[in-house]
Amino acid sequence: MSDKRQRLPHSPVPYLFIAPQILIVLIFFFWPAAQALYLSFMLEDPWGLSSQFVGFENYRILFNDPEYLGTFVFTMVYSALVSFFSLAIALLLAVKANNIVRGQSPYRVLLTWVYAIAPAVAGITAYFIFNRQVGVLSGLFNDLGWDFAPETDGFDASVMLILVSVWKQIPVNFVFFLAGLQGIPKSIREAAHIDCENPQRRFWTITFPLLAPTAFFLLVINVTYAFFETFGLIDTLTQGRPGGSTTTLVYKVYQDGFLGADLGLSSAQSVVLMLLVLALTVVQFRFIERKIHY
Amino acid sequence: MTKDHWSDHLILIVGVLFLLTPLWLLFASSTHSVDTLIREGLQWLPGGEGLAPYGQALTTASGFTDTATGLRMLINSMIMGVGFAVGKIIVSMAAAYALVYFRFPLATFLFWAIFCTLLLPLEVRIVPSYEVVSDLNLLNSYTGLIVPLIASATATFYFRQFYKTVPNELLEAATLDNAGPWRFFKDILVPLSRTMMAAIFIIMFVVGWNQYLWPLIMTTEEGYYTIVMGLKHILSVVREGRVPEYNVAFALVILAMLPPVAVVVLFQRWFIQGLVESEK
Amino acid sequence: MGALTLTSIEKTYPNGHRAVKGLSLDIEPGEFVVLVGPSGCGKSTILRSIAGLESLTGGEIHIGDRRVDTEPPAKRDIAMVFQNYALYPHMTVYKNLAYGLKNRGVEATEIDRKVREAADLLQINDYLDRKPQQLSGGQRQRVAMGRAIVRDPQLFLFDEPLSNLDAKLRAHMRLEIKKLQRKLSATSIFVTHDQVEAMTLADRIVVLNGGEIEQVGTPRDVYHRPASLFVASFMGAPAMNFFSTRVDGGDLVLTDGQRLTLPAEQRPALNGVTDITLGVRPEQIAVTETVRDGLVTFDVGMGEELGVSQLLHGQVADAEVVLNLPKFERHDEPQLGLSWPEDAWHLFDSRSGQRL
Repeated sequence: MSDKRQRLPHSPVPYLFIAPQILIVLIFFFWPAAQALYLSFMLEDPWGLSSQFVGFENYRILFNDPEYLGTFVFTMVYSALVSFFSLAIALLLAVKANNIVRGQSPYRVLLTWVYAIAPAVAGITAYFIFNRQVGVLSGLFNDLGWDFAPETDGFDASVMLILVSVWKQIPVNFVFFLAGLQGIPKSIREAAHIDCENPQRRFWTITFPLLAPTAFFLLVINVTYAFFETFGLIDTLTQGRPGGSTTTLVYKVYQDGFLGADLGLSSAQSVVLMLLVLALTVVQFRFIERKIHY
Repeated sequence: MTKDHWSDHLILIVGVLFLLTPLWLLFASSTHSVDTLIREGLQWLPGGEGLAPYGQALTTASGFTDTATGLRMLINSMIMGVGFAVGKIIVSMAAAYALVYFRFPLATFLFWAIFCTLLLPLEVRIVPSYEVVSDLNLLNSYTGLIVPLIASATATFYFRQFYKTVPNELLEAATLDNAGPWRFFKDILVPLSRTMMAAIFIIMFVVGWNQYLWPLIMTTEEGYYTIVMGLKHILSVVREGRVPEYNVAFALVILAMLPPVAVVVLFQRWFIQGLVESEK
Repeated sequence: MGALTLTSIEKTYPNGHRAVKGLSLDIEPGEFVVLVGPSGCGKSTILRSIAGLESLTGGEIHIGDRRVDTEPPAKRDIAMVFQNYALYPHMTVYKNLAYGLKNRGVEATEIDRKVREAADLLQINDYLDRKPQQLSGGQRQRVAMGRAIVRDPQLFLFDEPLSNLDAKLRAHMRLEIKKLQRKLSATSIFVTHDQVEAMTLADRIVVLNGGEIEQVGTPRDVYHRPASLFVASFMGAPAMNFFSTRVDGGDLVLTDGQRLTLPAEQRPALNGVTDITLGVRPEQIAVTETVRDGLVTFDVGMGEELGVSQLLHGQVADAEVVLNLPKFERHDEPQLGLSWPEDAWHLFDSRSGQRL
């Protein structure tokens, strides 16, 4: 915050202006967050009638549970693959869209509007596309000799989930990459044209390094997306099936907390996730700090 | 440099097809009869039913649920999208104004309190949030649907960044023009924020419309179902093995994506600005 | 009673920086005073403190016989023209002018009369319905002044209002501001770092350095009798030439041993000081092609053609010297002889920097 900014005189006014936000944050953020923290140290009987303090028992159970560790590993692999593929494809499309002169804006609209589709709607669309009775893709894969069976095969289900998650995330990455590309000053591009004739080489030595800040920032966005926003997609497409092989950490919080009604365990998972997000935020901040030096 | 390379267009067209084919397939199939769909699967070309399945999706309870018609769910989604966007803009503009233009003892503390909300998305604290809303008797209400989602601070930071780019001299000139804090906000800052508000409105409308998990756990009365979460019931019908009206189901899916897509396409420029700025 | 009285005003920022160090100044009604100095000299801080945009840490400010440094800005009856104009971008010109009056509860008909009057005066009637973005730099400048004029304040404050204009327009607007100020006999304080603006606009110039006043005087005074080395070097372009000298009898001895005979009337001023900095303005120096006794030897360097005259750079006794010569044909002489008239001598105490 710059100190040079002129401020308005001291008065009750700022408190009035900030009050609604603070009230909402207190009631709907800090209260539940504190509850999650509190409950993660409690063991509740199955009827919710009594609970007792058990210390780190819930965390101990969690980290000794092979199913949870499996979910943990799946979430990491899933996030990495979704981020990589959606970033790579979006970068390719953005570079091409930036290259061409004719038809730029139709392409831009066509490549971005999928952003507006809810993950849950994307999931249900995919469900029908892959559906055995009416869908086209499962049959197509079978015809190609791949015994594709997402209902029973964990690997096939994961492939399907990743494919749909990537599909949904391409537009956001495309928008940011295109904005990043168009933010590169014309003079730099012209200088690069004079200094380097090979377009491939020009991309990797000039354009890509200049896009690196955007790419890093998008990486954080994509990991966040894969962690949290894909909930609706999973719930409509696989519901973690088969056998929990497509369950992410967030989906498991929901399953254990709502469907399984194990509040203590679910809360402990919330706290673990909170720590993961915290780590992600710290990484992001370190990066932003570094960016200032450019 | 001035001539387009055909391969660039080819790659872009492949990308567009990858993104759009599934949606086209769903739309084309929604205009066919149930029999055709069950016999022949998804259709590539529009069929004889035309938009009739859409009429059915809007007006009847579709057999998926008992009281929630497509129209009712669309209206609920609209209330949710608009209410969320408007509420978020008002709350965050006011909070950002307090943070940027005033020096007050609790400012730093409150800033970090608001910042904390970025650390813990609703999905993570879903169970205790449900408990809180339930304790407040807000289940099955628009307030309960909308207000808890406003807790996240993204828009507050967005407006905070924007206010910081407003030249300081405007505040000084207004001070000399005898404008107090309220007048400066109302007469200068809000009108200056118009494009920012439009951009953030579009993003937030889409976000609000697309909410899934929260309405899913919040609403048990079907009169409050939103269309995105209502789709889950289509699935349960399919999964229970009853013969579903696929065409009507597809029509509902298309209806669920139509409003946010329309907003994004029609206000492309604001949408891009809002997206790029709000994520920073 | 003056129109504005500053009494030992002080401004120390929270970080310990003392921007204004106990400064006092009286301004007469209708006077046009220009505060000039390099960046960081405190001129903007003084102006903003008068406006009430910054609070003082000591001293008092009176407008007429009202003490105002304890009043909020809107109650001080002043108007300010900002460096970047600070026009409200979403309001029309008309609304920009009317806003301050509206906020003071002035009646609509009265507002309309005043706005149109000011618009007439500034010849901006045709743009009243336009937004600031649709105006040129000069037009925005006029609107900014109009916003000040409609309020009919006791004091006008100008914060480097011409610095965003191109050179030609700046000269034009300078004249306009001066005419307007005369016409309204508005007491005005104008801040600038541009010494040409200061010279052309001011009834009185206040030269500031490091939060303190170096000299207050008419433009002529400040130019012809600079009170210190700082003022002498700041006012005038190209800047005054300085020579370090030592007094030896009636002569000044340059560092390379050349002797200059001090005019008789300057001698009493020395007053026993032995280390003297001699200042001579570039345009007052005459050249002779032959180097002979009684003339200062000048090693010729680069020349710069200005059209109306020529700048000739070079050295005298290891000091960089510039000459401004209206008529000069350059040949390849390596050295020239310099001389200047008796009224061109400016003598400063090298230790204190004060004029002798």
